[in-house]
Amino acid sequence: MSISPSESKRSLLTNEAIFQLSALELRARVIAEEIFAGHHPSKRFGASTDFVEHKQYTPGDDLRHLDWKVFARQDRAVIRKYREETRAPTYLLLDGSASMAYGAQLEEAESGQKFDYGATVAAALALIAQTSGDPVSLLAFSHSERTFLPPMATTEHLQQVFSRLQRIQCQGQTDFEGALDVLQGKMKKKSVVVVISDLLDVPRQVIAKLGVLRKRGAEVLLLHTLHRDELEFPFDGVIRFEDMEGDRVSQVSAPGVRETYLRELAGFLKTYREEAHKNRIHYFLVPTHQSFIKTVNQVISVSRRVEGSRS
Amino acid sequence: MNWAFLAPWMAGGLLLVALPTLIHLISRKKARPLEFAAIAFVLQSQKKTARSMRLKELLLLAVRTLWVLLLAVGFLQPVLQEVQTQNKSNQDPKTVVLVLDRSASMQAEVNDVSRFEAAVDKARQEIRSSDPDVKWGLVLCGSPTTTEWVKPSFEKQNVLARLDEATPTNLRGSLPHCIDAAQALLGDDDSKTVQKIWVVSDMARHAFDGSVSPASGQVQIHFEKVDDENLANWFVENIKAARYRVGDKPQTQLQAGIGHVGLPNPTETTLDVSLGPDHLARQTVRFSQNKGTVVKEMTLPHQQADAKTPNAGENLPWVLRLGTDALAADNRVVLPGQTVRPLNILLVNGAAQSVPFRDEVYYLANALQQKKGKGGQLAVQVVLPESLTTSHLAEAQVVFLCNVQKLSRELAQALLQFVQTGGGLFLAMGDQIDVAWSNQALKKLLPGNLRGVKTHQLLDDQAKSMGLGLARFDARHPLFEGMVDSVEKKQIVGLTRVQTHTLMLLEPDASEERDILAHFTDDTPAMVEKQVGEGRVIFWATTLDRDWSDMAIRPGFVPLINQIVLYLTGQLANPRTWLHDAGSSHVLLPPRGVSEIRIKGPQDRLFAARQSETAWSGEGYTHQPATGQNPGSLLFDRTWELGIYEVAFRRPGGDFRVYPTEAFSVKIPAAESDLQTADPLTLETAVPLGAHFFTQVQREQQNSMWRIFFLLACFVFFIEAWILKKWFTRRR
Repeated sequence: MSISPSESKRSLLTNEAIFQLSALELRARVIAEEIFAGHHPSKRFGASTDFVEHKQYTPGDDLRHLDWKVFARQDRAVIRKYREETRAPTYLLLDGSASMAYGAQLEEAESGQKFDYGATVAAALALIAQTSGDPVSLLAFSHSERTFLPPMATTEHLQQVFSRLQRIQCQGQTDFEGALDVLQGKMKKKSVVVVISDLLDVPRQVIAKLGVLRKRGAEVLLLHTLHRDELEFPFDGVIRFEDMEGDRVSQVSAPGVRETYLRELAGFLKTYREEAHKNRIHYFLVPTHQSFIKTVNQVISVSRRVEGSRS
Repeated sequence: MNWAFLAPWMAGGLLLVALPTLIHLISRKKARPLEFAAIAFVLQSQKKTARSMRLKELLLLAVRTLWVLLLAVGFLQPVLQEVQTQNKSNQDPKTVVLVLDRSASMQAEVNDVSRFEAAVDKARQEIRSSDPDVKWGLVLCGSPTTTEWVKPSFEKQNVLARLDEATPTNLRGSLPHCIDAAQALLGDDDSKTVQKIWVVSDMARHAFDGSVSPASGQVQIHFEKVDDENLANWFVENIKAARYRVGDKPQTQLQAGIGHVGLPNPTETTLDVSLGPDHLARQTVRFSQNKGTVVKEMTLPHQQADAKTPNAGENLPWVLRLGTDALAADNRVVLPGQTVRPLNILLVNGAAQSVPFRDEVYYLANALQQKKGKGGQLAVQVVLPESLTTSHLAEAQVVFLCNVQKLSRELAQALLQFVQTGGGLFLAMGDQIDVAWSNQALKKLLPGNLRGVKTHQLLDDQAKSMGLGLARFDARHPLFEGMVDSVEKKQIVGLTRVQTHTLMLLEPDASEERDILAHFTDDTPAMVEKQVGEGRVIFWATTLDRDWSDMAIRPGFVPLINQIVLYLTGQLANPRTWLHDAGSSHVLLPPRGVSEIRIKGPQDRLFAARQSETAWSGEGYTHQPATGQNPGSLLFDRTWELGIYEVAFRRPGGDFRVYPTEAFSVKIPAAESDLQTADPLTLETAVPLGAHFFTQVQREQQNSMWRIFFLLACFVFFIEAWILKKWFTRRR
């Protein structure tokens, strides 16, 4: 996650084109390729190369770390000591409630289903992290189903992440708090937590729980994923709105309530943004028509800042 | 103020009022279902906007219902009956003068019924249904000269009987003039009651030329249009053709101008031309809206007859007929045809010579042969005086006596009779002339006694020459038609350099029987005309060959000879119009010596005029005496019927003789062919100042309340659209 492509670079890879790829892995690789374009990522396994100090050789030390140059010049056996590189695992939390399925019934490919969008972003982030050698964990959650894959950096694990992401069915109400409880029990201190959710019907106190993760040393990124229809309410005529997670129904003249709806939505977004800011959580409003590249880059840039500050 | 509906059968349309409510209910029932994730915000919004939305929806429903209601009521054609109610109460007129338009345009037919018949029916019904205490008068409106009236009285039967006899005319109508006539009738009525002038007409826009006097009392003017049709029409607008002249080719070039008014689309019709019963030609006339009069050119043949029976047979007319349209009368024009007969010209050669160009009639015969060579119907015969017989005279129409010394007594008498019966005689002088014999034997033919020969010296040097030129032409005489110099009016083209050295003098004569047509430069008469009976004599004081004068070799000689021939056969009348609009005046110029005129119009109606001393009198004739330069004229204005008018003149002691070249024709005035309805502003020009003005147009305005309803419906519809856009449509 140390690659930062230019933000100004205009990608020819549109959401519409990515959505037309059915395999999630393929989508992730296409996005990763677009982000890696022009860079040469170093894929090294083992110790870090950052030198710290010399240490007098004692028997039992690994001779691979003996400084032969010092031994030749001064006839003194010393061992080179390096800074150990930390491997921060990335936890991908993906909301799998029924409301995340909005957009599936629509024909426009540019802004597809919210879950589909979130899964694609998660897959791309997983691929990029795995490429950098960082372990990746997946936690998809809803009231009816919860999926957890512990953090690992192997290729097989990545394939498992892709496979799970593709199999998840959006159903039931959201279970944000349950998911956070699970994460708190299994999360390592230094880690990156990426939450992808529409936050609909999620109590604001949940943000405080995310704040707890932050206090435990994790960098939390909240990708607030909403569909264009939810953001713009572009409906005409009389519409019978039906709840996706419950039994609520509302029949209204859409243009008549649009103004109030947008006002309510703005209040909702403001509340969550302020709450996130208060808890030092990186908040991003991610409409499903926003470019995947941009969304993934937003996450990567935050990760890079975090790594920079640690070193 | 009462409301009424002209189309009550459209009341079913009111059920449409329920339509918006139904649509509203159906649309609520058929709301589009949509699974929506952010329904929480929708529910909150619905809760907050529920009351205002209900109000907006109710307003929308009300507006929708309102415009549908306005539209439905508009289709019922509502009328306000305020004016009619007032009329029927205390404003009911007690004296009504019916002005019935019977101008030519009223002959137009709508659904096979002429507008005039429809107008009469309408008038008859109105009179019969009126209260018994209403006085009725009548003005039958033709042209200003043919207006007839019946004074207002309680005897409706008088008016009804007059209506039964009324027929449409072919004349140009003037409603302002007739309204004035109706006002005059109302002015004669002493009763101080409400008076009304009820004009029944096609309200064609051409009928409103003129002005009306201010109303003198409490007068209502009511314009009643016969029907609401705005008829399109085509018509023969004008005819341009040169009259046939004896000796020309037996055909006439004719230009017919075909007009059209109100044709909505480019269309076409046919123009058929007939000569008597023979159908000569058919042409297609294509009209377009951008093009005015369509001109059609055609060459029409003349009926031809045998020369030996010059007066037999009838002059068949040309008939131009367009295809059928609303007004049939203006589609047909009849033009007087003229039977072409070969013209026999007899040249009596008094000084025949073996050398051709020295022969007395060499130049004259050649001049006439030129005319013949162009296809003219001329037969020229040259005889010597000793060979001349009465049978020669019987066959000839024009006789040239050229330098003839003497004739037998019998022939001189025959010659006189020949001229008196309409023949033309040209007397040319020469060295062979026996002055004494001529003065005795040809006394009645000569324009004066011959005095003797006078000779002037003619030298080659023009400056010293004693020769005489021609001067002081009577430029207005038809003989010189087309020959007068357009710049120097006193000169005749081609004859300005004529030199004459010897001439025959005439004794002075104070009688008005002769006209001097030209003088020599010494003021002696050169050419003199005399009317003898039906015929004419032209005296030429010198020779027609080159013995005494060189006129025969001048360029004007040939045209002059042709003119002389035409004039002596009566073909050179003053150029006058031969196709008139009905009601216009025809100018007559009776030849000298004529004492009676008889014009035979269509349907054999005769109009006679008689001269008493210097004035003419007769029904339909107006005499304008000669004053100064004005030679005077006789106007004939009974041109009311369509067709051909034959003109016959009679001299004292003789019979009436028909002059085919004087015949003329009458057609419908072109203005009457415009059947387009006058606009309300034009109608107002015919309303007397101070009169109450009720027109059918105004009634239409009352009837046209539906327009207001439709306008309101449109207005409310736009309000609905605005509401929809403002409150019920997503802003993009």
